[in-house]
Amino acid sequence: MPAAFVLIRWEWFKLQRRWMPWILLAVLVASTQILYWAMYALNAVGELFLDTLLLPNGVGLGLTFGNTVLVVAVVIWTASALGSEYSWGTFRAVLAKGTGRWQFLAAIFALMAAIGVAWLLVVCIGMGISGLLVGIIEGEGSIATSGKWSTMFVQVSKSALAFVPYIAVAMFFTVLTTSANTATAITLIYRFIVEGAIVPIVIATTDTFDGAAGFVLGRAVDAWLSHESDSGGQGGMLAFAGADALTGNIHGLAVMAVYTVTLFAAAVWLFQRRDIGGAKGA
Amino acid sequence: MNNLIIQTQGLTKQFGRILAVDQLSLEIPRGSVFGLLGPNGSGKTTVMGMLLGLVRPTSGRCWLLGPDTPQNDALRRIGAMIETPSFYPYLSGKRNLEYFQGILGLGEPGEVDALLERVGLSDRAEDRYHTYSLGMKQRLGIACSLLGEPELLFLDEPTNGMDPAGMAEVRELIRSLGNGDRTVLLSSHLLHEVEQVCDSVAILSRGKLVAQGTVTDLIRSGERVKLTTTKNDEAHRVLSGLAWVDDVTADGPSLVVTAPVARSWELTATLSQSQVYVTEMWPLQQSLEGYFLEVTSEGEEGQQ
Repeated sequence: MPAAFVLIRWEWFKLQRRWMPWILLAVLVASTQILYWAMYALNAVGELFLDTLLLPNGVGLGLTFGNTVLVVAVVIWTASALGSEYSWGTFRAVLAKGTGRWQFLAAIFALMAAIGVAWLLVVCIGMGISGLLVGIIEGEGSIATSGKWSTMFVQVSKSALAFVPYIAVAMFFTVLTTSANTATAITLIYRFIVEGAIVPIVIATTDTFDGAAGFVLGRAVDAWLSHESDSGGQGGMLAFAGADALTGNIHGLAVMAVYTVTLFAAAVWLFQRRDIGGAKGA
Repeated sequence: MNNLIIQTQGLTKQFGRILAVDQLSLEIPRGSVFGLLGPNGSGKTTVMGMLLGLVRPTSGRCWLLGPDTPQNDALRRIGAMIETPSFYPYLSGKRNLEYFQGILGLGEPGEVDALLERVGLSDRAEDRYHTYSLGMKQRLGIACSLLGEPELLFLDEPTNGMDPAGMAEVRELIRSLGNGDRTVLLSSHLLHEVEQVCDSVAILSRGKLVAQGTVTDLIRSGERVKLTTTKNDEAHRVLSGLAWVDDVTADGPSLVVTAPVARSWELTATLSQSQVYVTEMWPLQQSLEGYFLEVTSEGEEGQQ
């Protein structure tokens, strides 16, 4: 078995025994289900969006908020998985066994991406079951009249890539700060305060940065999720002002790829040059 | 096959303004228990860290298992326990060993159980690591370092936190590990322990190598004889002129002569030829601890 797969396998052996991935999955499923059934409750009052709640539209609806919660969960989990190695001093034991530094980071990156996709699929299955239940409860049949299965698959596929750059962001800040808590805080502040509030305000108040706006990660992700979407936009909960001005989902994907590769490479570069010490404590 | 298992040339590490290791050149032969000694902050752990690729040297070079072996290949054939062992607190001792065996890709399926048995942790193998005492953590660290039958073992303060019985057991284990082709690099501040276990030692002081050799030779190099004579002033003059006497100092009514105890008879013979007669004479037993304190204090004085 190639060395990379051996590492991924044994990282999973280790990480699956922590509570955190299961707690985060529970939070993901619970939050998306609560919001879904809240929408259903609103529908019961106003009979407004039954078609969007039924399959296959219901899955896309779940992803409108699921993508944002997924990013938060992936950031917390990536920073925790990597930051714990610093706080417990286990990096030293792992690297002293001859594990390559970049290979170790790459294995964690790949595993985080795989876990993120698995979480996404569980959320989607949960949404699908809820969609079926709503169909049964309403006696309207299980399938929405306006829905397309192909659109749902495109939405899920796009969502499976949308959180990946944030693994690289969290990984970079964890290696930089050697602390899970600090890295989580910085990444979430970057995602929700800088990208979600400061950037839109700057863009709205001045046209100086118009050219650069398309290269902000959050806007690229939003463009990737929204562009040419048959359901009329299913991006994150945070709406980025002027997202429609972006040139398209290819541009969004390219920007996401550049962020991912650059930040992962920066994390590896930094990690290769750092001395590895003992346990830092929590 | 190269007989040197560890070799360093001008190895230096600077942390900001602190020179932790200064131009260290060390050669450690295969198949021995080698002690790395030094006071706290003398650079022992930094040296081990550089050898294991955890700490980047500021300058100089080091090789493990010969100059032709790439570092990562060498590390896969090495076991190491540096300072307090670090394991995943939420995993059991057994699961921790299975993980490290897995990423190493070496070892037989039953090896983990056998190692836990060997270090006396079988009863607590399924308990989570965070419930272990310091001594148990040390034992697990030793077991982990033995995964894959390594050719070279790095053990940094392996008896730290153990009770006297445990310390004796581990000393015996280390001694047995150093038999045959395997080499053990042991760092410890317990000089009594080192004296019992190690064949050779290197002594560091403020990052510099101040002495290296077999334990027997180092102890012998500091051998002294205390004597009282009928004419101490004359005895001082005569003995100071002997090439094989390193030093003669007055100590109250006696003289302390730094010379091999085995040549004591030559001292008395030489003195009697000068009409000086020995009235009392006894060897001063040098221990590794005494030698260590002597050379490390010299090292510190030299740098002040």
